[in-house]
Amino acid sequence: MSETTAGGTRTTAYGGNGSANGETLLTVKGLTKYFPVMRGFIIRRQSGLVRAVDGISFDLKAGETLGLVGESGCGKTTTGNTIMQLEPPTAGEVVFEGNDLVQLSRDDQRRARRKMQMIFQDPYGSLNPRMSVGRIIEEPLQVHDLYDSRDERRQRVRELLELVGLDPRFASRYPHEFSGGQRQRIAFARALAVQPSFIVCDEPVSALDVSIQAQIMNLLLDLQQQLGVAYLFISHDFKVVRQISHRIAVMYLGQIVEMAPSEQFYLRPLHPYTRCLLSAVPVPDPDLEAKRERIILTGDVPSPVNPPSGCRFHPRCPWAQDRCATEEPELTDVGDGHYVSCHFWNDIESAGGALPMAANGA
Amino acid sequence: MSENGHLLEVRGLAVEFKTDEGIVRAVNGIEYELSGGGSLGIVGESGSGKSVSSLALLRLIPQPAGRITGGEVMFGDTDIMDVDPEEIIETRAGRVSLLQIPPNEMRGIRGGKISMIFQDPMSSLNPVLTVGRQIDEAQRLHLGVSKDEARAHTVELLDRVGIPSPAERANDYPHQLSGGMQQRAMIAMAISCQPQLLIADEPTTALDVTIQAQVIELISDLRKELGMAAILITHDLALVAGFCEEIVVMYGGYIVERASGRDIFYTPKHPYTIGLLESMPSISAARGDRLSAIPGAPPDMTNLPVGCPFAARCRYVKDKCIEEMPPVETIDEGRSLRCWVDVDTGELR
Repeated sequence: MSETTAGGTRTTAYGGNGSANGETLLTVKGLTKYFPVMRGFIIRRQSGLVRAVDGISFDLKAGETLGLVGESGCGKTTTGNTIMQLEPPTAGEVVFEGNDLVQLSRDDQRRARRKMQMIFQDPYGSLNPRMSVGRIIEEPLQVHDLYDSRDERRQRVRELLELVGLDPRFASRYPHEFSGGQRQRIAFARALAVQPSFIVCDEPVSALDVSIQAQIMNLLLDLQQQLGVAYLFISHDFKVVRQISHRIAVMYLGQIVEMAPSEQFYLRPLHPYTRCLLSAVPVPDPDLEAKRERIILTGDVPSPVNPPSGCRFHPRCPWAQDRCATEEPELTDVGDGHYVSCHFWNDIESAGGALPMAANGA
Repeated sequence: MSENGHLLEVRGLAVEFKTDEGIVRAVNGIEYELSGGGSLGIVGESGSGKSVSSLALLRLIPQPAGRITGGEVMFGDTDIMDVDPEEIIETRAGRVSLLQIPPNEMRGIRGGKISMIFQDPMSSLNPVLTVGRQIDEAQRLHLGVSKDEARAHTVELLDRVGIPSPAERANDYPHQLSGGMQQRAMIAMAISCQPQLLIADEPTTALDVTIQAQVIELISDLRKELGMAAILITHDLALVAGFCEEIVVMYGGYIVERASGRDIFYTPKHPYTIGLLESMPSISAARGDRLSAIPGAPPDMTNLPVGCPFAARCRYVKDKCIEEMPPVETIDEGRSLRCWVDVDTGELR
């Protein structure tokens, strides 16, 4: 533990050193969340189901970052929310530090949640405008009854502000006096107040300017190094996820289609959707941009109310074959902790990722 | 077109807003020009003045809070013939600044010769009119075509921007289309009157990555096909890399660097441009690499410093930077810079 760690002796609970070889902290098994689609005004009838999250499984080690990447509507935010039990899952298990959160009573859930915190995308909407920054950070300490006296709590608030790179004197100011980046720092201070071992970060830098984004990313890396906290980092931005994650899971229409150690995505993307996603990310280099082959996907993400049969990506997939429309692929281990859910990943890789002739002509 | 072949010339454009906190000097005398069929990227963070400067071209600054306080905008063949001579205050090379032509003339240019697409297609489309009707309307207003002619052209346009079954989709209301489709409809509307200049303000920011690639490719193809010039306004440097021949970087309401797309990326000269490039995460970087973030936050636009607005965050800062605003200097053919320091030596230039 470094000297700068907030809370001094109280931080023994973290125990981590920022490396990701700790023990399993969180296991998610077959997590599913369906939302009913209702019709009718007086007589409400259920007319369908939005399959927002459809049976996803992964685990997370202490001090590790798992990046969850996908386009809007793929269910990445719902995944974060159901893990936190902000919305009860339709099915599945969320085992955190040995307890299945889904089975816990509300009181036990609340206690368990002390170890789990969440950071939201919008730093303007997630801080109460009528509370001073000091009060905002102090509140979780009161809720969980962590300190005996007000002075101790205030002291802790000052330490937390320092930890996230803010002047402790800011405690008396209000959220509107801060910029977006500073507000996100305040949100981190609040989340860290209760010494969590796991933080769900839902698009934490998406609302920020590029130069500020980098500051917050660095803060996230530093905090993990110092406190050994694990992150589930949810974002639509592959570059950002790449920077921060040990492992990355790519979601499409409520399912994980590929999961692998972070560097594998650059060296060896296997799923057609991942290939397309990576090729669509613009790179800040005009020569590279001119040279590289883009796989421009046709169409939009289909509706999760009525997902396509077989492989959910098949209507947009340049490599799709007949089998893809009928048979759903399973997420399979292809070695080195690399999982992919595609019938033809092997063939596509052998062909060097070249597009089939038919797709080129389109 | 002017004698030097520029479609658009912006000179000393300045915009202010009156707010409760004081006067926001959003744009502080920017200059650039764009040739017919050319492409320009305007890059900057929120509050840098990139959007406001483009709204000012079309005189769309919200009144009465906002005011164009100076400058002129010369556009294409907007010549003296179009305007009642009584109304003209200042002219140059037989042309009149867009900032001075009467409002009814401006309406003819807006959406006709210059069109604009915005970040959020949902709020730019009228929710109670069908998409087709909105595209028809622009043509009937600017081109004076009949209802049927307009609709036929609308369907062609929707087809061209890649909307499937365009004749049916034309009868859809905006909410029935996805975000990507709405943006395509906006683009169809923008090109419906064959504009000479298309201004796209963060056209893909609200869209997913795969849709973003589709839309940028579409704008790029259309530009070449129709020979129109385009201005792409964005916060994402990577986005303009493949799209723009020329890039201007804005900070604190000033253009701090202006160069060809290649020069901006391979030999950036302004410390802010360098910082911006370095702070971008890369898909090929190793995990946990710290990004080289620009410290601090953008300047308070109600209280800009006397010197360079970037001085407080600049790693090359010298005393002179704090005392005096650097002038725009041409450092090479088609390349200019607003900085006292030579970043290659770290000394004053």
